[in-house]
Amino acid sequence: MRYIPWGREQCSSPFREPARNVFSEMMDVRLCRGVLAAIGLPAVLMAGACSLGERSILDQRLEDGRQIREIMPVRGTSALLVLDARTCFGCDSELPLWRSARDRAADRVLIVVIGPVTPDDRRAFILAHLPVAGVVAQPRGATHDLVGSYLVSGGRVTASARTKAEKEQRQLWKQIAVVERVQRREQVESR
Amino acid sequence: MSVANPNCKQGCRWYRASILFVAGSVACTDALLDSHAEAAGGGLDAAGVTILHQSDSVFVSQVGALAIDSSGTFYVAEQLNPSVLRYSNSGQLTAVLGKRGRGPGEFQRPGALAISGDSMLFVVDGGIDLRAWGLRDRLEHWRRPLPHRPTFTIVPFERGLLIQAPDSSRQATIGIIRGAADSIEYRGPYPTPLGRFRQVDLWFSQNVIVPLGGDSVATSIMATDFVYWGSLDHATFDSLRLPIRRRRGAGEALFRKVTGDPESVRPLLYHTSMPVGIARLSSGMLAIVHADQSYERARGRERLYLSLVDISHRRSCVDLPVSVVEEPLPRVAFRGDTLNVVTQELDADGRATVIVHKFVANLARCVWIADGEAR
Repeated sequence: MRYIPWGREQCSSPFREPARNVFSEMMDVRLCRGVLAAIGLPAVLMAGACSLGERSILDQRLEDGRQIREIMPVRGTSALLVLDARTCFGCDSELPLWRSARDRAADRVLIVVIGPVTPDDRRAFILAHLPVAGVVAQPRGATHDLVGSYLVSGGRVTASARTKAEKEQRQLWKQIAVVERVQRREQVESR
Repeated sequence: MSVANPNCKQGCRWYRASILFVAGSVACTDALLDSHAEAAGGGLDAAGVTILHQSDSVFVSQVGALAIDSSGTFYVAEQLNPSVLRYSNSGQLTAVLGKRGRGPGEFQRPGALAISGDSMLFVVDGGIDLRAWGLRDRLEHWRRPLPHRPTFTIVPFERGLLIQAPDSSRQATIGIIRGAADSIEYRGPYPTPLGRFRQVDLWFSQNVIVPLGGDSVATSIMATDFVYWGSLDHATFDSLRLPIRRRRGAGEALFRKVTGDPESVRPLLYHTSMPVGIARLSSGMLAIVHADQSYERARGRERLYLSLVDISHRRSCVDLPVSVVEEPLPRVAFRGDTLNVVTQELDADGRATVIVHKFVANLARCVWIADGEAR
């Protein structure tokens, strides 16, 4: 199979981005909760470690000095996509899914890129019509642990999904849709 | 992208050094050839541009392919928001075909496009599914999986469709598809490297095909510098070697490496050349566009070069640079004698624009090289 990175058919290549750390892939919140239930108290520490990435994602500092939580909408539920600029345009990129998400709810979908981001990267995002809300130039923690999709509500991460896990992404979006419906109904009723 | 091979220990230094040497040589050769082509007058004349209108709700964000019908209507395969966008010859959006999804009338990642008789649009989705759309009713008529994955090439033919179909068991590189349910007939030349080296047919079988009338076609295949033309039914093909100095890949040394250890040569495979367009001009000559790929930070760039093949005089005019931006990947389509290249660029205000650049070959400026003659 011939794979052309940005080629005539971008997503049919035998080339793949370097595999992410398997352990980090396993560090999923749901997994952590399962471990907690099964093992008990010792797992509390592990669960804490597992959720560390999620808690800290909103505390990551952007190039302009603000934290991610400061750029998130204050009210309602929003989605945050954290990308690695080095790999996010690769063949099995999640960008098509997020393209449609932005089309549905542009004001509730924010894209943050883990830097450093080159001028070429910025250009590529503009050409792809994917506005970047901020750049984390010096991330705290491993990039591959931070890259993912996050549902943020009330200043907290309420759900997350690894970027390559399409099924989890879809579940995340279903949650967002439900929350938005409820919010719209409440707005109408309050009027 | 790192070129380090984790399995490589003692040979690492030589490995990296050889890659650096190859990359440096290619860059140096590119500069020399470009200066040579410019000194020779370029060989391509700009024939205007068409700016494809972008709205806030419908826009091109990642081009998969470009096709043009006989009236000059543009069809652009949009990959980030899977659909096919139709633009008038003045660049106005006139229709959006399909949407994201897996069902009828939906696309995952539309790639190759082909228009047949201005009534049917064929789309290769994700490199693995062939979709037939009616252009008048804008509906999907049928679909079928493709046996060779991925498939980049699809060309209307009087007896059906021609597709890229490297088939080592049948020793063919072209497949003929007649409809949704029919089996594929395998035809076409099978260049020597595809048979000599294991896995090369998987990695270097991309081809471009143009019908020449009757059962005749011409084709250029990534694995070789030769251009082939002849009869599909009789499997008789003539060939001519294009003396492209610049061309990357498609060499015995790389094929040996691919056969022995594909993992170790990934960085080199990203930096190969491939044919991306072919047409028969009104003069009877063949025009072939090659793309030199490079790859950085998960994004590719390509430099395009046009070569002309004068079959009747067995001579060629190669390496005419096509002056368009390198990123993102330009997609090409011929309409008559005009080469159309769609690019995405930033305008003066920093906004994304989509432009179709048109070029025609200026034969008077060509430096012709006879078949077999060294350049």
